[in-house]
Amino acid sequence: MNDFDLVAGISRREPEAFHEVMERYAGPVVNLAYRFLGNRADAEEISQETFLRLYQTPPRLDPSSKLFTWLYRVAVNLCMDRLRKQSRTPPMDSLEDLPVASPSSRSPRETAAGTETAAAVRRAVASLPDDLRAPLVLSALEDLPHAEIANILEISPKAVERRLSRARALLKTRLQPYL
Amino acid sequence: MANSPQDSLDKLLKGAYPAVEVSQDFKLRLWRKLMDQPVEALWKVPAPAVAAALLLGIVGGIWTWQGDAKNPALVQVARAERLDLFGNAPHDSLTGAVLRRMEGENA
Repeated sequence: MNDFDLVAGISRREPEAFHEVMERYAGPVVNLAYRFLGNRADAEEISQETFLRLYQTPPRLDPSSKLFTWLYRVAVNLCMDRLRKQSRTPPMDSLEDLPVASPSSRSPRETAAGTETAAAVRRAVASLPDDLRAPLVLSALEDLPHAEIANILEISPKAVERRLSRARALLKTRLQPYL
Repeated sequence: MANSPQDSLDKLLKGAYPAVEVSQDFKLRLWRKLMDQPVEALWKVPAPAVAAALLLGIVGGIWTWQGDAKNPALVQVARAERLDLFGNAPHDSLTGAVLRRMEGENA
């Protein structure tokens, strides 16, 4: 089923349609939220809220629209709201304890160094202003094209480019020792 | 080809955010939240249907009220259930006829 048919199915309260949406998008939405919030528990909570909103108020998609654009938009907005309510540095999962999808086979020393670097990177990203962090996460971590990011954030592609440029410049300054 | 600064930064960023597994009970917890959603209220019946029913009721009521003097036969069915204060149906109504039959009265 394409996204249009899936949303139509959800509007008709068909469990199979909702199940299919969760199968396809639960992982990507949880990972997107995790990249904003830094801890899996919050990421899953935000993701569940996103899917609940899909169930409560299914969007009106035209046949060429992608459901993930809508899901990502809702998830990003929920993450931004959560971050505004929390302190600027939300509790982050320790990378050592996180169940990763593809664990590496590095030595303990390499793992420790990598963990320290990763923690520094995540702190630097968390310190970015919200309007810079969102396009950076969607571009650098989700590998989305600028046009898609513009759709998700409801800004122009030019604005996406400007914000990405500023975000990268800030990160390069803060992460210089690690580059 | 040497990595550009942007490539190095992107590599650093990706390394800091490995893909995470979704909890095994994620879907179960979500289904439970869905089950807790309030049942759709009856007032959510489509507004046009409600408006049409109201209009029909109003027009029908006016028509039967006014139609009595013009054509009693047309409004006979509408009048069938109109009872007086004591619960008696009008003598010439459908309900009245049924009651008389049940009670064995002559029409």
